[in-house]
Amino acid sequence: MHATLIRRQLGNLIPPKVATPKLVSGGSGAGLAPLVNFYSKLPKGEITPRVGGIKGRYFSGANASGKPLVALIVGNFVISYTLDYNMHLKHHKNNIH
Amino acid sequence: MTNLFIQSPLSQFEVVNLIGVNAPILGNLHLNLTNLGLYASFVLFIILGLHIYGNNDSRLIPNKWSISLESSYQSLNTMVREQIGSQSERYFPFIYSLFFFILIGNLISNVPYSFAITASGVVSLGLSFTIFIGVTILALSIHKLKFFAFFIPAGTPLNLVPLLVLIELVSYLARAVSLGVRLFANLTAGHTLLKILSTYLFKLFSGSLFIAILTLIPFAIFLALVGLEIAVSLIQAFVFTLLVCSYLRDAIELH
Repeated sequence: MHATLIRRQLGNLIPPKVATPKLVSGGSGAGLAPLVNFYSKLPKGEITPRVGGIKGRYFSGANASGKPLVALIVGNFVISYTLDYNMHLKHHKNNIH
Repeated sequence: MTNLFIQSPLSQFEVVNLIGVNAPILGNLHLNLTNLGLYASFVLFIILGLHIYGNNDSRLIPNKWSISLESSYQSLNTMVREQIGSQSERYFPFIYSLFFFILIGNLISNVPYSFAITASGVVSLGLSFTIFIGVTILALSIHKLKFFAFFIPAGTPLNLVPLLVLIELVSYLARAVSLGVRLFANLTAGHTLLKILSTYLFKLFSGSLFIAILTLIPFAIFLALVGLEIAVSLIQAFVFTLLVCSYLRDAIELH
């Protein structure tokens, strides 16, 4: 097969060469040096990754779980039973309707 | 044999004072925290907590909590767009908070011994009457006197107008009641049923061992009913907001 024909078919697969460091900064890369210097000093990764606290432990990222819901249901049950016992059940223990 | 007592299944809806102040000032001031008030504030704190903790902090990758919040936002947003129209998204915050208030109020009432705030008439009817008055004021402010054309369907013969106005007026006023009663009745019926059944199941379970084992069969049905009650909680919250949307559309577009 003809060489240019092969190259034309492969052209779909290989991206064209648009920008190289040499092309962008006139060969030396000196123009970008202050910029590279500035950015290399910046802290990398997430801004203050949250690990502690309720949110960090049960809500954010991969730690998200249904535990807060269970705590909510159990807490609601405890509060409700206490209230019901003191308001109602205690009274009806010796008094039938 | 221990003393068995049967409570009225409706006593769970009683509003009782938990703590209160009776001050002989300002015409004998009563400041009380009732169980209704307490559970309403629970609903508030749960909704706030859900949205503060479930917030993703503007990260690109969502977590499970923020996905659930975003998808509920999205589905409510779609409902508002479909019902009221995309120009009327100013009503979306209202619909969103209404949905979450009713949903959380319904859901926490499913915890045993808990109090169902939406099963008390003052909450559900109070909500529906407030919304009804608000929607009517909105319609009057948009359409001024033309609002009253709402009570005369297009193409009515003149001699039928008095009768039809009466019918339309009654059906319009009935919205205020029906919206609240739908929520109130569903919740009350469900909770009463569960209370009656659980009282009987408790008696059966506290009998002999053989009967207690046999009671596991009706207990399975009871558990299914609890599941149904959770579904009712979701459906009623959705239906309430959907109807509020359609009333808002009626107020904005007059049919």
